[in-house]
Amino acid sequence: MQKCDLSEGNIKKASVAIRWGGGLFMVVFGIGFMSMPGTFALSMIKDFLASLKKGDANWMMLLPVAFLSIFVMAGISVMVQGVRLLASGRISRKDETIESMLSRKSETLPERSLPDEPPPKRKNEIGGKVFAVLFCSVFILIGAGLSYALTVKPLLAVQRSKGWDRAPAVVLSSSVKTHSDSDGDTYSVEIQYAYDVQQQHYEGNRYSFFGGSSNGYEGKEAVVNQYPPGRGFEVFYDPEKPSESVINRELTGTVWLGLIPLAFVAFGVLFLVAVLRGGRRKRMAWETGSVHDGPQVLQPGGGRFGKVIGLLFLGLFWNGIVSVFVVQMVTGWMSGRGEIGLTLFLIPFLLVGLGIIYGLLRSVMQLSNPRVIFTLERSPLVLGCETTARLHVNGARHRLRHLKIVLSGREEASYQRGTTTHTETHEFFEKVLLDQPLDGGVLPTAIPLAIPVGSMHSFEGSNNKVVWSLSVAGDIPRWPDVKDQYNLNVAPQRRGM
Amino acid sequence: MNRLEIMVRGGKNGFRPGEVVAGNVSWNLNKLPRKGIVVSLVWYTSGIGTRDEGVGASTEIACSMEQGSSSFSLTLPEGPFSFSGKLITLSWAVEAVAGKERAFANLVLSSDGEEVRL
Repeated sequence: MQKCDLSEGNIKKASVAIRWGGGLFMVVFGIGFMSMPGTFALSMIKDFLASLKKGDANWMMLLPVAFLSIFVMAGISVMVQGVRLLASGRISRKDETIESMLSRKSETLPERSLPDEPPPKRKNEIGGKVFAVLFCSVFILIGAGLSYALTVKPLLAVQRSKGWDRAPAVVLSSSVKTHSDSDGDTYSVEIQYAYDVQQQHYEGNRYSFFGGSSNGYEGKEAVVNQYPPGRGFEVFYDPEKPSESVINRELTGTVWLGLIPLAFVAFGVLFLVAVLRGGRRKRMAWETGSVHDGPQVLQPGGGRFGKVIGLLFLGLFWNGIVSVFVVQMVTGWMSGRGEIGLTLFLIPFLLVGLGIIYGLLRSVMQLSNPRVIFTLERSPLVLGCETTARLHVNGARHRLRHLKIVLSGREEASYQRGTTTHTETHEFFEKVLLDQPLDGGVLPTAIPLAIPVGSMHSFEGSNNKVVWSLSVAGDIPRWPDVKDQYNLNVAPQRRGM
Repeated sequence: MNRLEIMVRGGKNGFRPGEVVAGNVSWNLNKLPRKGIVVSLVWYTSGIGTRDEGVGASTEIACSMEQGSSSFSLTLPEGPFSFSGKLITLSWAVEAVAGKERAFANLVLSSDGEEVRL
């Protein structure tokens, strides 16, 4: 039988192999991951620039570019991590070399004495933050730019044109212009007209402030039919700059399209705030002094309503963007020009979208579930001290068939690998406080609650946590179960305790 | 050659919340540090997660000569306690920083002066 030789030399050889293998894989994976969306995005940018040059820019073309840039940035990030791994032999767990990971005992705690190594130098996270700021800026700038071009700028123009004068004009030519690119055809209204202001002759071609091209031929054709060549009508012009004119200064439905890119702005801002706040450690209640010695009603973490709102926004954001491509795909298949590549590419995104809708439906159903309310007689909980948690069930208590309440303590450690944050958890303490059927049974009104004296208090770092919580699991037949978690604030013993 | 040393009085390393960590810093430096010598009580995590760190208390020793020594005393906060679990280890140290030179002494902070084992 072959023995596993974990000598230092072999570990080093293995680490070199992992470094090169892993680094090359990440670089190749990053390039592969961003190549397809990157090619699509470049093609769209090229089409957009071409339309911009021609003077009939279709700003909506930047919307899929923003979506695709998510994948491009993710690919770049993985590639950069791969290059870093090749260059340094370190992986993203910042303080751990591959050698130490390989030799780390994962299942047993080593006998520990005070370490000889010095405390690490304070972190400099500026590089990572600069990258994150650049990453977020792409979304914020594209979203804000699109919203400005599609909504803000036309709205300002409409507002400004309210003070414009009218002048008799005549149509010189009118047509529906077709714009063809790799994504299919879009259409725009093209009306050329002439008018005179103070014996000065002018020509214009602006039908409305909401220019550009879009899908839908019939609507544009109907507009063009109203303005046949030679027909007279009244044009609105700027008295301070008579060359500026417009046929129709009313708001149109397309003005609200500019709200869609605001989702990118919101995503960028939220992500940016999260990154910038990430470096700061949250302080526990016992550290800030915001504790009160008295009864405290516990609130479940991640409220049910918040979950619904979160999933609703996620579903709208995700499915809203995916639907743009789905419509394009379906239109393609219906017109006999279906693209198998695009269809296969979209399937996983569609499945994720359906999963979000399923989760949303479940969380809406859970809104009507009964809720257990805990009132701690004394807060905060202190290591080694006992208190009483009074129980009260709000809502349709009769629907609960079984109730289980568990006190648990766990470690949570988060680390970056590539572009994703992984969190590992380890439960170091668990005690069942209540586990009983409720079919006609009587629910106790109070349960004793104590954290062992030799244990660890609540701790919340940016990446590492010690969390104490009460978990409530309630069984409801033929309905999503009650699953709520109530975090406890466990304080260290003070002097003299 | 630069030399920076820090010693905790009585060689003690187990402390309780609110206790005072007192000791001595001695140095022999080629160049005077611009910011003096900063002595801090620091905690940091190690293990599988990305490192977290914090400063419990800090004091600055002004040094006007390249060679010398000075005493310090800092009060430990209520927490976090030193602990060691399967995923996370939280350690405390008192460290002295003089420019690029660093010296440290490890400490344990808990209710009984022993590291909490999860």
